[in-house]
Amino acid sequence: MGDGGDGDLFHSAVVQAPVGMLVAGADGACELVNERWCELTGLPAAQSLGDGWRRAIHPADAAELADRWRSLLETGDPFEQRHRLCRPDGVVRWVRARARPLLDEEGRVHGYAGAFADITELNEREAELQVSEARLRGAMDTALDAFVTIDADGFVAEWNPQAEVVFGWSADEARGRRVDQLVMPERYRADHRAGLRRYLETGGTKYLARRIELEAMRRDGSEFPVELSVTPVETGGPVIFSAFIRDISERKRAERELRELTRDLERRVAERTTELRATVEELEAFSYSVSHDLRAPLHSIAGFAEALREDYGEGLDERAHDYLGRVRSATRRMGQLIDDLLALSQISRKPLERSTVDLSGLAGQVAAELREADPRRDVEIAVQGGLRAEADDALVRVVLENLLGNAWKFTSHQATARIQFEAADGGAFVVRDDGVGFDPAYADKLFGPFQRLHRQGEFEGTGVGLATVQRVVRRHAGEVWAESEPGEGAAFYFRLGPGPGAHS
Amino acid sequence: MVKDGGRILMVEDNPDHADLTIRALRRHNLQNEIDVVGDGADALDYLFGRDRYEGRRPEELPVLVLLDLKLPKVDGLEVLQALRGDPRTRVLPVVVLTSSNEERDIVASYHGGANSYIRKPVDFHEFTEAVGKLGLYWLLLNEPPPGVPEP
Repeated sequence: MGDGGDGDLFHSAVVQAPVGMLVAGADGACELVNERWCELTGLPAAQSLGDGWRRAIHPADAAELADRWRSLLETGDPFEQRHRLCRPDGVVRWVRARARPLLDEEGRVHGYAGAFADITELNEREAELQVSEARLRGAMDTALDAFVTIDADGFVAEWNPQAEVVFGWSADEARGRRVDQLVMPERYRADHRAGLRRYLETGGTKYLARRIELEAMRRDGSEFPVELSVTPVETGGPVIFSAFIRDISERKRAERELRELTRDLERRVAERTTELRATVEELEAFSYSVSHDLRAPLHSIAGFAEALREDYGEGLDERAHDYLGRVRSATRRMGQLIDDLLALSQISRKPLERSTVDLSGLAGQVAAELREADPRRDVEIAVQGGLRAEADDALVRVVLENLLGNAWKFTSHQATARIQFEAADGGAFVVRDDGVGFDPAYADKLFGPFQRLHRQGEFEGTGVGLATVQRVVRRHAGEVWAESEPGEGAAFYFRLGPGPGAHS
Repeated sequence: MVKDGGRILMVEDNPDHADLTIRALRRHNLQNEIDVVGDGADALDYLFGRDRYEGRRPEELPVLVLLDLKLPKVDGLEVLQALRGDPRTRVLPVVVLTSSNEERDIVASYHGGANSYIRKPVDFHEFTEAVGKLGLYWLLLNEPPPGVPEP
């Protein structure tokens, strides 16, 4: 260390330097530190003198720094070293240290100076950047979408592994080549270049910052649909464009299949509807034919049998009159059969219109009609009040007419009778009578059309009534069943779906 | 015996039914002349004096048309439509006499301008009664529209 003007200047420069400084004599022992050094190291100046300053070096870096320092003292070679300082309170700071010999006018070493610049924050930012880059790299490398960046002239800069898979070009092959020639069908290329130019001139293009669907090209020239989003990245330097590209061949295929399936389904529904309509029309034509054509010959048979009786009756004996009587009753019966059959088919064809139906009121009306038709009978008809159902008014009336009519009919051989209409368990309704009943062994035959459990002479009927009841109840998504023992009366239950319809 | 009145046109493709209807009318002493045609096309030719019935003067209309619905060629409802669409026959009394009791036939007949709709009962007694009543009503009681000859 020299004295004098130069020495004063040097001393003042050291003291005021914005970096930590220490000055050692020719023997390497520290003679001076500045204030900044004390801040960096947490060591008072007095404790830094001699070899004291070495305590400030982070233990992990101490050996290396000591080597460099020794080498400086032996050879006079300056050095620069990044290392850590560790303060007594444990705070660690990164510094860039520079040390060199101090020479006098004759060029002889008369001391050494070390400067320590705090680069902790710089290092932290660098580390952060490295982590962020590594993270980004990882994301790009494992991305499910192809990720490609290009420079402002359209040359590929980045090409992730998925881009290799999607397009068939390796990253090494792709980098530095024009992206339009790599992945775009010929017809898009001019547009692409114009778009780049437009962006550079005006800062806008229709493709940026939204998802678009278009065709891309593989290495082998085959085309496939992709979804693409492009973002310009401006970092102060020249703009680059980054793009995520997703191969949507599968999705497109699925969409197409779905469309085809839907079309197919619609076509099949239309076909079935047409078939069904044809069937319904045939059924209607059949019913109409039954109504008209089956009745016509019957009319002739009945008419001419009667004409025979009227015009030639006087010449016929009793047996001939009996025969003509049988023809007449048989034709009447067949007429009834045709009517019942038509009624049954009309019940199937009529649209179901549900409303709240007053079953009790309806049963009362039917009972009154039965009494009116046969006033001599002594029958007690008990109808529970307040029974309602969500049902088709006209159809449910048919049910009650048949069930109450049957009860009336099958009690006709007794002096007095009792018929009840009331609610049963589970939202069902029941019509009970104390008439002749039926053998439960045949219960399953009751509801088939033209099925009868009684001989013609016993009770009138065509066997269509209960079939009609069953059809009405089924049209209401309900069920009908019966219980009886011969001579014990019968109970006919019906329940109308959906849900229980009875409210007491 | 009721005096001879105007003619009745019966449009009926079933000869049995035509005979039975005529018989029923006669049993009620209705002696009007009755012309029978077997299909709707003939009915229109008869009424408008065309083809086979050329020379029949259209103004000599029957006093009553008994019309079946289910007919060959031109069905009953089409005949009705043609009659109501022509000024000469617009008010001619037409009674539909058919074996159908389909609601849509009844509705369509009245909408088409039928004056009455009668279903042929299968029972012959009932049938005779029904035909007798319709004959008495339309041929004796009913005041025909002007232009149609007195029964």
